[in-house]
Amino acid sequence: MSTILKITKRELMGYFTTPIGYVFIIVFLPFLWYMVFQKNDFFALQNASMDTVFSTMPLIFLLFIPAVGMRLWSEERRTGTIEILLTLPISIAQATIGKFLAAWIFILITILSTLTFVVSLNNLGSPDNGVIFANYIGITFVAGAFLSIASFTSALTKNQVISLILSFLLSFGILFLGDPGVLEVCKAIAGYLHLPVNPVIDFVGSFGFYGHMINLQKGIIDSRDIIFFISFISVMIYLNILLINKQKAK
Amino acid sequence: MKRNYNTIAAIAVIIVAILLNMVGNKFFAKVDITAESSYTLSEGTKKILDDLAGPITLKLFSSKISTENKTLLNQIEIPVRIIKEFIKEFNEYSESITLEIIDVELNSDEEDTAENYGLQGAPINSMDKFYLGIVAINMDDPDKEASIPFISPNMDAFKDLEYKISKLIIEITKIQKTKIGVISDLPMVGNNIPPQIAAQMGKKSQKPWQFIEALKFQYDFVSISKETNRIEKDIDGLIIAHPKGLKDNILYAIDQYLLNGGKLLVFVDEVCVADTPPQGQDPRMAQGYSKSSDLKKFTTSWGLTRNPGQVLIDAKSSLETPMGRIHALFQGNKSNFPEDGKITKGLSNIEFFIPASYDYKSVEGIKTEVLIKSSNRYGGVSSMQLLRTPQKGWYDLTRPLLKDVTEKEPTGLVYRFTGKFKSIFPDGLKKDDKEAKNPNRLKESTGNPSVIMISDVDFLNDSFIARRDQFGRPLNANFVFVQNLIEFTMGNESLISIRSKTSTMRPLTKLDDIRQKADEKRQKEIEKHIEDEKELSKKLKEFKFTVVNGELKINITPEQQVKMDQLKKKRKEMRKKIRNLKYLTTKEVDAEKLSVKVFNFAFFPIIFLILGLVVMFYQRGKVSNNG
Repeated sequence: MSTILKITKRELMGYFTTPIGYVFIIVFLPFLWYMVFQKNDFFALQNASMDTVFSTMPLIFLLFIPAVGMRLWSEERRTGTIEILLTLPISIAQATIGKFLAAWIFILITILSTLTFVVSLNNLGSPDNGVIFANYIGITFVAGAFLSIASFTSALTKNQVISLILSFLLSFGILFLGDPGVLEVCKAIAGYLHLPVNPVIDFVGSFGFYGHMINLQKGIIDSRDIIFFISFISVMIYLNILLINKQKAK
Repeated sequence: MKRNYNTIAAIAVIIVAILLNMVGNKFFAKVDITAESSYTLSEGTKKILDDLAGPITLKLFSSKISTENKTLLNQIEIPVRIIKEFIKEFNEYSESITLEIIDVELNSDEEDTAENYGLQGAPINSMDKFYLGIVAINMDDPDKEASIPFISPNMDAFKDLEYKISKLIIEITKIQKTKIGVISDLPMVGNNIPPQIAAQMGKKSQKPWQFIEALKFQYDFVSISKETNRIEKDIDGLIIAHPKGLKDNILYAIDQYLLNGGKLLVFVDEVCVADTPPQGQDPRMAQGYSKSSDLKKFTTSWGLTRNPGQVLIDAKSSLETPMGRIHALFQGNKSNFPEDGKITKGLSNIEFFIPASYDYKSVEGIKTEVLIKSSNRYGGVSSMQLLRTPQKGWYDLTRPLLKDVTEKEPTGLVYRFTGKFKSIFPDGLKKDDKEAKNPNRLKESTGNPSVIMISDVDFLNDSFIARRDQFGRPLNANFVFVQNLIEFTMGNESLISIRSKTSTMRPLTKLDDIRQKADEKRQKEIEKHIEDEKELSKKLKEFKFTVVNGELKINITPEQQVKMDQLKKKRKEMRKKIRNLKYLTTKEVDAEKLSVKVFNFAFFPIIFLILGLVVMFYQRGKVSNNG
């Protein structure tokens, strides 16, 4: 455990001792600001709510997180430092979890930098802080899930651009998996393969992030959503470990 | 071998995760952390469900969102899901509720079934309709069914969904309706005569007022004649609205009803605008028609003394528009309600049009609660003066009166009285009357009588209750308030707690405060300039105009011309000053908006920029030290 924490600390410091972390935050916040105040005219809505902030964040994260995650393993492989890492007296699991946690904490810091919106809303009116808190939990889990995908795709290839595109496509697909349009396609495929349509749709739909964010967006913390996100992240990290192990064996 | 192991391990982990989710879906827990527990059934609904004697089926008809209609229905997908999820709460809480979710496909049998139940589809194109409605069926008596024909698929509609479903359940399970007697000169109960028959009878068909119509699902409203001298025992509660010229016979009947543990809701008014002279009345007589009502003998016995000919206006709580027009002389908000007030919980904007003014002095044995009070700055305005002035002039009429009002103890506009009531006819109706010797005649109350006295009547009227903005949203909480009043009086409090969830609004109040303070700050200056401007306009009108060959000519000397030009210039400057003063208010609000924008744009980026620079200099220092 202490090894994981050491790796996490070292990796986290990496975000703040190089310009990359600052660039991400300084680009992320004005973009979000533009979406909230300029594009959606926050004051015209006359409502003390952070709906616009939280509905915009997953879309920004679709690009932002693959960009953060692409360097987790691809960078190590490109520069050859992965060879050194694999010879250190740490396990692959420890290295993978440590790197993932560091990136997740960095994203969490980015998320928390939107707390100025909470301060402003409480100053301007009486927002429902319960709903805001639940949304923060939701967005943290969505970010973690996107990051686990990005970490996995980063381990697949040493080309960072391919990793970014792959993780963007996967994240995009899973974010909208519960979308009726996607489900209609699944329905057609299930019909073609003579599979029971409704169970297939329910099963596929249950993987969509969108469906698991609805309750949290409303202000409800549901154990089903939390279990889903934790198990999703865990599976992706485990697959990531298997992948690195496979590369080590080579 | 190793490769096989990895594949098997990956598949095993995915299967374990799926199983974990499947188990998690069976045994789950959820916490609603919203401020008003908006997505959890309220205590009122739970009580209604707990009291259910038999099984109820709720059928939710919802159009299926498919690839064919997806582009049209994309916007409503999330609200529909939230609505569906919430309806499941009823079924999850009570075993008596069975929920059937019926996906209505285009041109299917389900569409016909929905139509047969009376559900209404909203057209999504020239051919197809979108359905979202609920049918509730009492399974012990399947003839008893009720429906919500269409739920608007938006979050505004969600707010009162719990109330509507609870109402459906009451409607199909209520064995006997509560009977409420109404004594009123106003046609609030309606006459239930169809228009054609009414025309044949030479009468007017009158619909019940909206609040009566809305509560008919659980109450029977019965008109009681003013000639009666006895209120029947089967009357569970009594509404006395705008009582005018009630004779001793009915006052005695009300007195005995109250002393027998009766429940009264009394609405009186100094000027009831809804009270119009009877048709065909001599116009001279109509001019002197009194729109005032009172229940003096009773109100005095409860400790209330009317300020005759005076209406109450609140300096802080009157409803004014930014244009300086008064919509209502009193607008009740949180600061006007008791903190633990059940009837007013969660409400804002209760508007009393022209409330009567009362002084209160406590009476021994009677417990008094003030349910709505004024602010500490209020005054009285002559009702005659008010009526002579058109409504657009009320602001100018009342402002000077309120300007010098000093702060004082708030006064009540809605009172509740309980405890030991004494008869207002201690010697019976007449001393020689046989009723005076009636051994059953009560001189003091028994049981738990209660009275709620409201010093306005117009707020009940449809023209006030139905005030809505351009989006159809209610502009006041009068409708909810009067329903709460009736249910509280009748002891049915379940729906009150549900309704309190429906009126939650979260406006950006600070901006309104800034606007209001800025207006107040400049009000005197603006008023002075308006006066000056009026004066100048008046002076300009003094120059004599004549019409020559259809053109407006002015007969003035060159000196007068100079003076007129000066006056015109001055008036122009005055108008500019007024405009500038009003613009300053907008500027203050805009300044606050800008500060919010700047704070959100710059605060954290600057912090991170500074942090980055510190780290950079620290690292450079470290490198040079090592070097």
